[in-house]
Amino acid sequence: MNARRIAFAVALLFVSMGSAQEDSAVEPEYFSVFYYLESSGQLTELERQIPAEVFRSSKVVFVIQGEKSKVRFKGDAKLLFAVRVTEDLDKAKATMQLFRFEGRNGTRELEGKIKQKVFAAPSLALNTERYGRSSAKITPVKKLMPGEYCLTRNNIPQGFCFGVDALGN
Amino acid sequence: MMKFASSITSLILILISVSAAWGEDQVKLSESELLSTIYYLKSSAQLVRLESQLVLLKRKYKALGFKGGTTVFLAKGEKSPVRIPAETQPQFVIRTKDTTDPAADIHLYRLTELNGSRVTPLNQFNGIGRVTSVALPSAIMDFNSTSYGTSSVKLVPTQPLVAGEYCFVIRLPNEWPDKNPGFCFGIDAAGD
Repeated sequence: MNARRIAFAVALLFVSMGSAQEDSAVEPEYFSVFYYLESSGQLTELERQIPAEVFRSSKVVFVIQGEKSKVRFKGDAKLLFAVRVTEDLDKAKATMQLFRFEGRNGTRELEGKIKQKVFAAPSLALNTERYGRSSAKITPVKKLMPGEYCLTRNNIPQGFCFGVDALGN
Repeated sequence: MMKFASSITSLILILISVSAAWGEDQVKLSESELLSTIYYLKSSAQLVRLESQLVLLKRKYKALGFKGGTTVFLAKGEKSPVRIPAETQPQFVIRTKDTTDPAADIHLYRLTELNGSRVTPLNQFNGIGRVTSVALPSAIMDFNSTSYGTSSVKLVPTQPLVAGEYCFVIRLPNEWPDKNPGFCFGIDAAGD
């Protein structure tokens, strides 16, 4: 009987320790703000933008001033991002988006269409998993080619941008 | 032996309780009782309720609509009765449901005085009603949102707010109906 009680208490202790470890991750302070997650666990800010929407015939173009982001990653960098969310991870997953912008005449542009009053453009595939207690860790499924990118959620106006440089640049 | 086992069990249970309590926020912050109502958080931690009104989504036509027009948010009155002194980082507080994401559901706009109202342009449309441009980046003010107290969220603009009229507008998911709950205030220039 006593052995059982001890085993139960030890099991509880391990569960509690595991939970404490999971919670010890340094999470973003702000909701829906994306950060680069360094291998040390430190969070680094991305370039924060609210793109302008320009209508060209049947298309909508999101435009960001500046042809290149000031936040740069090398082509071989392991790209991990973190974002704090308020909803369940499963719900949050569906809102995560990564867009590739084209640098053009001093701006970055992304073409899309308005579907049911919401901007729609093809997002690059992302893996989203739990990070800490209230955040998500995001990684692009495929290695990103050199270029300009912004992370966002389909329900916020902000984009969190960065560039990937070719190896050797 | 039985006493020893019992002591170990008790010790472990105490350790678990202490570790669970460790992360709990011990600081009690002033929170509002009302859900979805936005307050200005003074430096003294006192909450000041913002001017509450329904912000209207209106279309203003040029040449009876033949030349299109502008969609605006319109708040009644030229100036908000709630005045906030100019400061680098004014802070606001709202009690929300757990799953509300202020970044998605609340927008902060700067409005200008026009014919006894406050307005901010949202988009331009042509003679057949199709949107031709969106004024979002100039109209919308970016802010950060973070947990505050046990059930509230603190909203902090990312840039200092210059003197003028502002409204937080709360929207339904992915939709802007004709009337939207708004919480307005004015920033007075330093020295006013």
